[in-house]
Amino acid sequence: MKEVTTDEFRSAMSSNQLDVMIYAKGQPLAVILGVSELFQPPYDNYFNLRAGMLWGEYIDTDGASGVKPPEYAYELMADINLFQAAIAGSDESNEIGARMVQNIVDSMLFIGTVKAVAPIYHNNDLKNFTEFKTQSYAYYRTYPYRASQWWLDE
Amino acid sequence: MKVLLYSGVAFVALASAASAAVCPAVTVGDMMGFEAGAFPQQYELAEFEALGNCTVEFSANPASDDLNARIRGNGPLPPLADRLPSEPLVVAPYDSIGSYGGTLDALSNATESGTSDFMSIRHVNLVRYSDDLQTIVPMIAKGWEWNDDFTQLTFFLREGHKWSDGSPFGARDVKFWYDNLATDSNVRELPKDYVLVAGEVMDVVVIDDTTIQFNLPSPKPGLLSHFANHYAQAFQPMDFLGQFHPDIDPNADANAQAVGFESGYDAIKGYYGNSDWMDTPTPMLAHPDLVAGLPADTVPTLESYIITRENTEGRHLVANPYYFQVDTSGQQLPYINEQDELFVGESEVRLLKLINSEVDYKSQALNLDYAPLLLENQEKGNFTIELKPEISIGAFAFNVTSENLAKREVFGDVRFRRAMSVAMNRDEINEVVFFGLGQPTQYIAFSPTPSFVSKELEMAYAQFDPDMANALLDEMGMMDLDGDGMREMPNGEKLVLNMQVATQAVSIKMVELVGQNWREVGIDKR
Repeated sequence: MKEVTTDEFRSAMSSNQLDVMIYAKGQPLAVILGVSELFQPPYDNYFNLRAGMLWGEYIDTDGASGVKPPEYAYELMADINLFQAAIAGSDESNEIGARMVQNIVDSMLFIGTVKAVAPIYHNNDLKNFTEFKTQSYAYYRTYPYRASQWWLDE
Repeated sequence: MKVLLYSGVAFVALASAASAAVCPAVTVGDMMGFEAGAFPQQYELAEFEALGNCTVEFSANPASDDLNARIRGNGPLPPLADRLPSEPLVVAPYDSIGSYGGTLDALSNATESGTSDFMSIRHVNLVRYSDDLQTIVPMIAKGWEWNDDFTQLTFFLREGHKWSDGSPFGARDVKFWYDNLATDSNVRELPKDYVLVAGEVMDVVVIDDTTIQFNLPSPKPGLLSHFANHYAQAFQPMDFLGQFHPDIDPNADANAQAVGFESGYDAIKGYYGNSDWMDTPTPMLAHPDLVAGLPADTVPTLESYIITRENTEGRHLVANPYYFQVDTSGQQLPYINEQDELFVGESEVRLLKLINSEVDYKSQALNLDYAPLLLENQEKGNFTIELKPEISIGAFAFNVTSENLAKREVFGDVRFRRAMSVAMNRDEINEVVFFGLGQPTQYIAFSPTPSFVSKELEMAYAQFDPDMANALLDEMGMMDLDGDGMREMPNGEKLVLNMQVATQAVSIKMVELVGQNWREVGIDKR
């Protein structure tokens, strides 16, 4: 097992050199409503966890190169388009969403571990710092918490 | 036409009734009897003045001129009234009206590595998720409007809003971003899926200077949510970047060549990169040989800070003197004058700097492994640690399109992937790595788990069942042929997993435990 920098990991993943890839994965509904990357090969962007680089290449090149993905990959791609076109929370949306998750679990291209907690650090001199709801990239980290009104009491 | 959420404009007429009384400096913690506005914790100016029958008197950071002088390419500052939009966003601070000054110290891993946490501090987009993570609120746009079938989304921008160099911001900057950057194959080989609707491009129409309309080929109600949570900013300065874009300026190539770039698109990439990733190195780092002859050190921004120095060791930023927000007392935001970002590649050194209180805020790349030491040093170091739930989880993926065809066959067999899943002892991982604070789960893409996902699906193949793992591997024909305790692939070749761990996102301790679990069912790793 080798500890590498994030850049090295991303680069090795992109050039299809790794046997097993490991990284954080998962998004809230609010993000999935606008971004399809978790549902189409290679199943995320350059920065994040991917599987099936050559499936992604096949789709990006309309089959000119790469490896044709299995049928379940196409079914998930079709379903994310339907999911994003439906009103979140509606029966239609929930039905499509359940079908997508069934597909994801059945194919198990990504294996989950433990949903955890993580630390948030702030100096006590930093004022107007409110408690975050999550420690996550989703919602773009500090963006909901209005850092423009932070100030330093030094 | 259905109006779903639309702030600001309706209040303009009411503003004329405002008296000369100065508005109270309300905070979220002390509203002084002031009514809430249409959206939590913030107001449009006219709305705020109408609600309080009062007037906001604007004031600027006394250091604005000095900070502005450090933004190469900026001219002298006009008065604050000419820098703010005529419709600034009024922000109610959480606890207190702030004082100007200071430098926010931050820590990232390296250029474009572990930096999004710090970038989010200055981030802006058309809209934003409020801190309840449910309510979308105005930001760069003061309001928006959907049509009935979610195929047309119109944003209303702020009159008089300006870029960090004082040039006007408007609807054409949104269209420029979409037409000339996000969907221009000379800039970006393929458009990102978030600028498409079911794989098709949108038609972005400038209605007038402050009204921009996204016409969608099919419904996508989540497009608004995208503009609230994504790093990709839906605007770029057309006047500045357009001088180098051949579709905007016929002299683009000549303009670029005059300052040392090979072509207009080369200059676009020099300032913008080839994606919406806001961490693309500025010319200060990417083109140090050219930067002195360029019109500015970095592209103008609407963010609260702008980069004034960048090298391989870190970045320094100053407050944007044209930022569009004021607090309820009328002080232009942000309060903090400067930001300093230091790059430290080694996680142990980053931890030491946190313990030594050399940092004002950090969450990205802080694994729970760090928590005991950080918690122990809180008081001494004058910092606070809060443990909060993560959204993403550590996940493993096997390379189903491996260049090695024997491995491709093994990894491509779902029985192998299920075996590896049930071979993991998630309860042990939870106890050892996450101090029992986590929740074992399968990967289901959505997090938190939505109501349409059953508990069975959430935990499918997440139980610890080495017997099932062994049976699945046996069934695949993966046996230990040479008696070393490790299984070979069905073709008889040895299988030794090449595992690399980037600790920015996952704990190496967790990966070690999983590797050990896999060895216990005969799958070797190195």
